[in-house]
Amino acid sequence: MRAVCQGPRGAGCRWPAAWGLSLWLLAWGVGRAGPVTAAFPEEKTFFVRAWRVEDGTPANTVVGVARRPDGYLWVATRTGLFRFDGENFQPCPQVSAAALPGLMVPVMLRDRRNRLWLAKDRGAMACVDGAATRVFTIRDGLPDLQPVSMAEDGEGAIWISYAAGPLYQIKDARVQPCEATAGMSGQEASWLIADRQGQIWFARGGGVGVLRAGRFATLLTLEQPALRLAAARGGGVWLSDGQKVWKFKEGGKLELLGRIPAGQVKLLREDQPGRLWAAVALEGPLGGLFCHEGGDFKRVPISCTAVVSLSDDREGNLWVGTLGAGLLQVRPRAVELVNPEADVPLVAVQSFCEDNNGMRFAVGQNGLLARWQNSAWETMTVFLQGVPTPVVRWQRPGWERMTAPLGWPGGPATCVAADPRGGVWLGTTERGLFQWRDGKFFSLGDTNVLARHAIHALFPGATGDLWIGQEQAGTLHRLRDGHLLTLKLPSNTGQVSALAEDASNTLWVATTDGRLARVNGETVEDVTSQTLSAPAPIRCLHAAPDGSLWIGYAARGLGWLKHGRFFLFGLEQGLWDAGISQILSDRRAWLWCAGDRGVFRIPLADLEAVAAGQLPAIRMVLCGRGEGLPNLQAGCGVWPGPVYGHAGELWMPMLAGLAVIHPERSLEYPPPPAVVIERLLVNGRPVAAYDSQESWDRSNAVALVDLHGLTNRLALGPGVRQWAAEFTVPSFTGQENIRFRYQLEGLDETWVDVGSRRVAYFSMVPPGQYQFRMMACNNEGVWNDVGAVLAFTVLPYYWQTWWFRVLSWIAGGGVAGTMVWMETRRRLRRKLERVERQRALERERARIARDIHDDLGASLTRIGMLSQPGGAAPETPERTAANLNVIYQTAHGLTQTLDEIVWAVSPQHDTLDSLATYLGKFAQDFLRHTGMRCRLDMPLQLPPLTLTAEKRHHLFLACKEALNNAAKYSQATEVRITLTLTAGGFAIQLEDNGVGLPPAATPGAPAPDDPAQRTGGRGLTNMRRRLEEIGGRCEIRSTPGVGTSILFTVPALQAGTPAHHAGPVRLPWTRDGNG
Amino acid sequence: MDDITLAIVDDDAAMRSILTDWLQPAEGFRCLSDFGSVEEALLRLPEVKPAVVLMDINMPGLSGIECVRQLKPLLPATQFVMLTVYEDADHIFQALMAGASGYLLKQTPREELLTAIREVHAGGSPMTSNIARKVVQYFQQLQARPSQTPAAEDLSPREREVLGLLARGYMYKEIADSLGLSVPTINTYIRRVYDKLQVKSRSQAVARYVVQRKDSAPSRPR
Repeated sequence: MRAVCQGPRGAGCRWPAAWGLSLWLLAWGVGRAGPVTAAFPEEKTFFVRAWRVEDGTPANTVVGVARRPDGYLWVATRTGLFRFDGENFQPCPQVSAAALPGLMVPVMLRDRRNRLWLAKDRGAMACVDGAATRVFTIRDGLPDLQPVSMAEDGEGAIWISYAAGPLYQIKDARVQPCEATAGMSGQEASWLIADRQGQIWFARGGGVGVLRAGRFATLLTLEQPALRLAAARGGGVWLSDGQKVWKFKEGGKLELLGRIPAGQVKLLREDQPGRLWAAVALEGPLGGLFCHEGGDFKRVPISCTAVVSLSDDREGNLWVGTLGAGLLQVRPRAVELVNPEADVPLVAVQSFCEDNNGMRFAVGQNGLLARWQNSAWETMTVFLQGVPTPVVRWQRPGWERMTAPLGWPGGPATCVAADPRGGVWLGTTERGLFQWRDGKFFSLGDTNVLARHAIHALFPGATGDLWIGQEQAGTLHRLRDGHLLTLKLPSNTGQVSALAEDASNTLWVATTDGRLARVNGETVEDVTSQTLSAPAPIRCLHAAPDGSLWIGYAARGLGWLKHGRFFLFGLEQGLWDAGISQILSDRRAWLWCAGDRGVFRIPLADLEAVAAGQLPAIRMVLCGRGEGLPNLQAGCGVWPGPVYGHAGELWMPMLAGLAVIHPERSLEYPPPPAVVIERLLVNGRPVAAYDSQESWDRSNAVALVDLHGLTNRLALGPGVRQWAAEFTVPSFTGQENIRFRYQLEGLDETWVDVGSRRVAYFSMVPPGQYQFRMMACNNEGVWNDVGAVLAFTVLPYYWQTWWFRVLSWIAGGGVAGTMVWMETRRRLRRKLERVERQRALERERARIARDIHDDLGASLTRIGMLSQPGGAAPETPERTAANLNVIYQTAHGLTQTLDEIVWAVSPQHDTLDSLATYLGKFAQDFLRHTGMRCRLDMPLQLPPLTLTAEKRHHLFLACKEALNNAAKYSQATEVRITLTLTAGGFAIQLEDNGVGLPPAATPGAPAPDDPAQRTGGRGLTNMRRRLEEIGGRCEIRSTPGVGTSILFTVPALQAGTPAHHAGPVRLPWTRDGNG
Repeated sequence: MDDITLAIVDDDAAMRSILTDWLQPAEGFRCLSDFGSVEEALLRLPEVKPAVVLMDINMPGLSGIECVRQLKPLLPATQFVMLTVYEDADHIFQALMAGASGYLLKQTPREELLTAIREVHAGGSPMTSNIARKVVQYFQQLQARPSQTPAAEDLSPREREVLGLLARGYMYKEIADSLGLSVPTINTYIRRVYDKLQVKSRSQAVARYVVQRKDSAPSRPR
């Protein structure tokens, strides 16, 4: 927001009038004139930017601004203290809350130890030292008065002067009233400052003095009270009594610097580049801010005149705290843009010159010629009713279009050049050459030649020759003493595009097709070969005083020819633009160039170093953007282009107007911006902040890590889903042009260019060690290679740590191994079981084979033998019948045995129920033949216990044995078979009501003599053995005379458990299980 | 008294010839025909209409039990006696369910065979303890399920009593003595049990067949 202030423009009076009228005009002109003689409208000289509440400033009243060592600015408002980085105001509530309970801060001071002192009214003082704030109150000894000024002496003690006169000193955190006021007059307030050497100066009443050895010594006395002081760079002080400003040194004289037109000087400040600023308290257009530059005070147009504080930063800005207009940033422009289009319809300035008298001509691309009129009296000849009448008039400063009625006979103009010996040469499109001399235009030269083609280049040489280039290709004219000489340039050259004369008065000519020629006397020498191998179009030339010739190419960059050596600077050497339209050295250390993309400057030292191979690339500074100017595109096509002004400024014609460059106003080299990481947020919550103590709100329960000066590695908790860093650059010139880039080393090695966004996001950051690097590039395109670094470690969850991983891998491996091992064991066990089954099966088969072999074989053999006729005795029918009967019996028995074998091995009879049924049937049949009663007591519903073939076989045979015994020996009448279920299986009990067993029939007893008993004893042993083989028990109880009871106890498996055979056993005589 | 007309069904030609040799000259027996396969028997027996059929259980193709099952409805008055090598209780039970009246071991001596045929023809119904046990188990298992058949087909208490005693090893004589009945009465009871068994098994088969037909199309009725 710039305050635009235009001087009132009065129209020149051109109506014909008599002398009296001219006098009236005189009077009228005087009446309307202003007293300020400004060369140019002031608003373009200073760059002013205001920070108001609408822009984010916390208040419109800024009572103090102080520079912080880390680049930020402290901004004190009525509502509190803020940290300003050029874009945002960050509150410091800690300080504000502690130290500023609502009272205004009239005085602010930053001491050499970078502590901020805030002197508030009514006896309170706060000292902000980084994180700590020390408050001094009335209780510490401060008076209940309004403070006026503060200064720090050479020993670090702070001196405060109060409104009613007393002075206080705070030394080593102790408040002491200053007693040594001897030597000071009056009860007025003192104004204290400290000069560059650390000496305290005071101004009190009309006296000015120093504090020497604890005493105040008055060095000077002036009539005016209310003096103001400011430290001067070169020692001593600036002194103002309200209107005049002097410089005073101890032991020296009072030197007047200048005077303010009106009002009272309230504040003085000398900034870093050495300009003196004065704040004047006066309403209206004569008050406000003044800058002393170039010998007098220039008023800086700002929107408010109530200036409360002045401060400056490292970038050459002046910060003005105002009462109600916010914070102002003021800087005199190094590059101004003068736009004649405001006054005259001049489209795109293409040529400009200023003659020895300060007359300025400008030519636009539309051929319009304009002249700058300073405010001055001017005599003109005006035709009044045909009578030429001299008229004196007062001209307001402004551009004026030159037309025929004003005496310009040339029509559309092309270029203008100022002759060092006086006068201005003007070239036209169709009327040849003109000269402006003594206020009149003269046509010169051979009109026929010069008027045939448009004049595109004019160069007045030092010896008085005028070199003229026309639109015709390959021609160059020299005008000397009125004679025109036409020189022929080397064949096939284009039009002359640039002319330069070096120190040895050799003329260099460049053409549009890239030829470079040197003119000595009247000989033209083509020296293009000294430069590039293939000619490239040249736009401009500049001859430097050291003998170098600078060549600006249309597309190849910048060429440097010196003593026959040539070097070309292109984009690879760091050049901003490959198309250079204008080159001008500022006669200091910089080479200013203008191309298609703007105005930039290069240090000459860099160019020499790069040409010598010491530097890889030049550093260049873009100009104008920091002052809010757009990219200026240079005009080209006519010569001369850029010219020097009389005050040392550079004039460069641009398409947007005329650029005026004040080289002395540009900084030597703007420092690259220091990046500051302001806040770190993890998962949306702030974890660390810059100067966290300062910005820590008491309402915030969590204390944040301070990023200011952090050297350790931060440890961020496990589970970083979102990671965000907010950063900024404390820079006050062209904030919008600052670009950032960052890299998170450890996650992604590429640099991310985020433009002007000030937040870096990462999501789902895995555990590990990282380094976050930031770089910023400032307005001029300079990257700060150091940047900011934030090292942090993301702690892993316990399940993300390496040892957990290793353990889990081991555990996983262990589990897998265990599973494999278990599976292998299971397989082995199954194999074992299979083998067992196989073996049991084989055993069973062996047994069956044995049985078949033994029982059946014997029987069959018997049958076979009996069926044969034979024997010595003759065959009788009785004998045959007897044999047949034996055969029948044998066959019968064979069938029975077979049936038993089949039943025993058939898997479908594996159940207890089948055993019960079969046993019952056998017992019934057997006992029927013996005549004994058979009583069966077997439950109808039996559980599905599995009985293997082996078990059934042995069990059945044991029962058979028991029944046999009962039939043979017991002499019983009844046999009872009972089947009962037990816990682990079942039990079969065979009882008879016979005579019982003989007492000797116990196993282990000596075999009795009775063979029947012997076999009986053997039978019992057999039974026991059979039961033991199937894992059961055999109990024999006998009561003589009552009966015998045999109990078989058998353990059995539940149905479903794999029995000791797999699948049905196929015997040769079974047919699908049937029969 | 008329001769007992007989027919023999056995795939073993030697067996057929032996039996025929035994029965043909015997008093009161007339051997009408013998068949070597169930299919042949199914075709021809309904015409022959013997009083007793000796049926071998174990035959290739359709088994003897199946033959009895198919023929009994056609020859309700004929007594089917199964001939078997082994006394396999399962097969015998199935044969009884199919409609057989009894069984004989093939190795039975000739006289016993003739006597047994005469007894069966006269109404005797031999049952051993294991068969009795199976019959009781079968009816008990049917009772456990909700009955789809009328109660008249269940065993009467008397029949159950007889069967229970049989299963416990009692002889017919002992049962008759303990119940105060005559042996022919016991036989009659047993015969009734056989009939009921046959009816039950037939209705079961029908029900099963119907259910199977409802569920899926092709299924073999057992």
